[in-house]
Amino acid sequence: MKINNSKKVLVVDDDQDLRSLVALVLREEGYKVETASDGKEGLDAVERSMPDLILLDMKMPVMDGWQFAREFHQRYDLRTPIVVLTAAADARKRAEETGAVDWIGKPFDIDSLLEIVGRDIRKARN
Amino acid sequence: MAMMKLSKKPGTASAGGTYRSRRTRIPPLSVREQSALLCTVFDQSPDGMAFIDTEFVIRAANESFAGQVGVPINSMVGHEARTVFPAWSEQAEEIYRQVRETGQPFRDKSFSFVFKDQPERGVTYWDISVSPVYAGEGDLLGYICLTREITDRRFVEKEHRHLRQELQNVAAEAQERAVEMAAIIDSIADGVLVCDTDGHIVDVNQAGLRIAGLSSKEEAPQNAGDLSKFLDLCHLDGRPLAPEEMALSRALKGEVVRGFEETARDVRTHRQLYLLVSAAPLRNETGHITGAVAVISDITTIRELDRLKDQFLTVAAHELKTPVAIMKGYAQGLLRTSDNMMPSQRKMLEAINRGSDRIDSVVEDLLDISKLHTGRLELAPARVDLADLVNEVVDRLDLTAAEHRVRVVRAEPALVVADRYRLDQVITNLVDNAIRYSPQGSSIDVEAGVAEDEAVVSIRDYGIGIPSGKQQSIFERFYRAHTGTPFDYGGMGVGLYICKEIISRHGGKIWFESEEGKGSTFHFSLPLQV
Repeated sequence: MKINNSKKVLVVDDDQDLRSLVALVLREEGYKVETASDGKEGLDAVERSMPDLILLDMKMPVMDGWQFAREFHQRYDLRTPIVVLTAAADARKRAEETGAVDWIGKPFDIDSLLEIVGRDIRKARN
Repeated sequence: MAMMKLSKKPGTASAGGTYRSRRTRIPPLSVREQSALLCTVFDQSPDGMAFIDTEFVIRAANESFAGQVGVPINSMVGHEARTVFPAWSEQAEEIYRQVRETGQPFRDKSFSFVFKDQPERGVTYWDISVSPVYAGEGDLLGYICLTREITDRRFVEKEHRHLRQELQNVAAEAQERAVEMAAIIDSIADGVLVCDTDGHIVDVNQAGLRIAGLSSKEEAPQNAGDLSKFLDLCHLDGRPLAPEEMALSRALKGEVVRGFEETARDVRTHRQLYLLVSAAPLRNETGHITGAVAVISDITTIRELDRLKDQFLTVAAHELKTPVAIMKGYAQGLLRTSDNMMPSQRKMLEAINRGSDRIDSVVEDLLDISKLHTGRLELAPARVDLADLVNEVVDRLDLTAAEHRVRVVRAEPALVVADRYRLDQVITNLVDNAIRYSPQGSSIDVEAGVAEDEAVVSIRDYGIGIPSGKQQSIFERFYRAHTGTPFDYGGMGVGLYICKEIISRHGGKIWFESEEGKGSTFHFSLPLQV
């Protein structure tokens, strides 16, 4: 296991396998990972402890990514970066709509996922 | 004054020498003179005249009569009628007898007769009269026979009647055809609209009324130009369609319009309709435009199905992406975490990773086609140097193409404003094709530069080339030039279609040269950024 300054990432996605995959990969890199299966659970998780970065799926039951992002920005620190994790073809547009700092299209390379997460956490800190 | 006028007129006239006062009396003719005059009248009468005595001996006949019956005067006069005329019959004698008994002239204005000795004349028609001639008190001298041949006139009349009948037949047939035609036009599923040169609607079929939501022609405006407002006709982008932009109006000016798409509103339900309209001028024999006809198809359902299909495609693609992401992710995850993996196991995981990428690229292609087809492909234009882009793409592809040498042979700065991601897609696609259809170990030469005020990128391969018979179709959607040949390396037949569409959305052109067995060179050009 690699040491990764114990940054915390919240993964909000309704697909359990994908959630596990991202969590596994991030934990391998030394991140602390919390998961949530929809926007509402995501807000609960944020309530418990503020993450350093949120990986957010857009299309989810109960509360979708757009609503989560809106609620999150109203309630909390705007500097916590949200990275949109979407299967939609116009991922870039989705990111702009939600005020996310970045986007990752599904399917993705693990290397680029890790690179984006690391980069955006570093950027937010500075 | 009056006296002076009267006295003057004869004077003036006599000076001319031709004027003869009405009051001037012609001196009475002598008996001899009278007789000579009557003979002349008899001889020169245009009607045939003959005098036949009570014994049916011809006593006198004039030239006209001789001409009409075709017997010289000399052969007639002094001879019995039955010897002169082969057709002289009991029936003829009966006429004369009847005239003698009644003392009344016989008259037949359309007496028909066939000359047996002159069959070439056919049936002849005559206006004849036979009148008794008496000497003094009731002493019958004979008969004066007047004849006038009217065969020509009869013929003309007959012809006339025939023509009139013919005309009636034609009219009846035309009427029948018109009814038939109206029935056919009414049974056509497409709307048919006919107007005259002034744009007045002359005819509209049932389908035409139904499409517009009308139940009778009277509910429609009289003028075709008013339809644009009446039906709220619009271009596909929502701009109102001006009356002069209507297909029918353009057809009236001589244009043949094919497959013009517009939207309309159902008059009754106000539902939006998609219409496909074709129109053509109607011309008479001399080529003058006498009106126009438009055929209107209601393609609302087709459009709706198209939309549903694209929606389905988008949803299906979206649903595919998450499982592909999981497959790809775990394969990569395993490759990363297992240090003591056997080479064969590593190869399997790499294959899963590549397979996932292929599924993803198929899905992406399908999404792109759907977006291009419905015009929803959004471009994000930015300044792009094609030389940079070409170097970048070639570096990436040369790494993955182990069996080919992909190289940049020329890269001169060529600045364009374009969607970098989409141009990358085009170049990648063209290079992928070049690799796919050329032998292992061969080169793929890529160049970028400026030619004739345009930015041009060319990709050359030394492969199998495209058979000349298939060259015109290769940019069509789903066309696969190598289907069923030993060179069928798979694929959906969409790559070049996507390339062409992307380049044309950028205002550029794409073309190629190819020779079977020698290779192909694909080029695309884009407007230079100045």
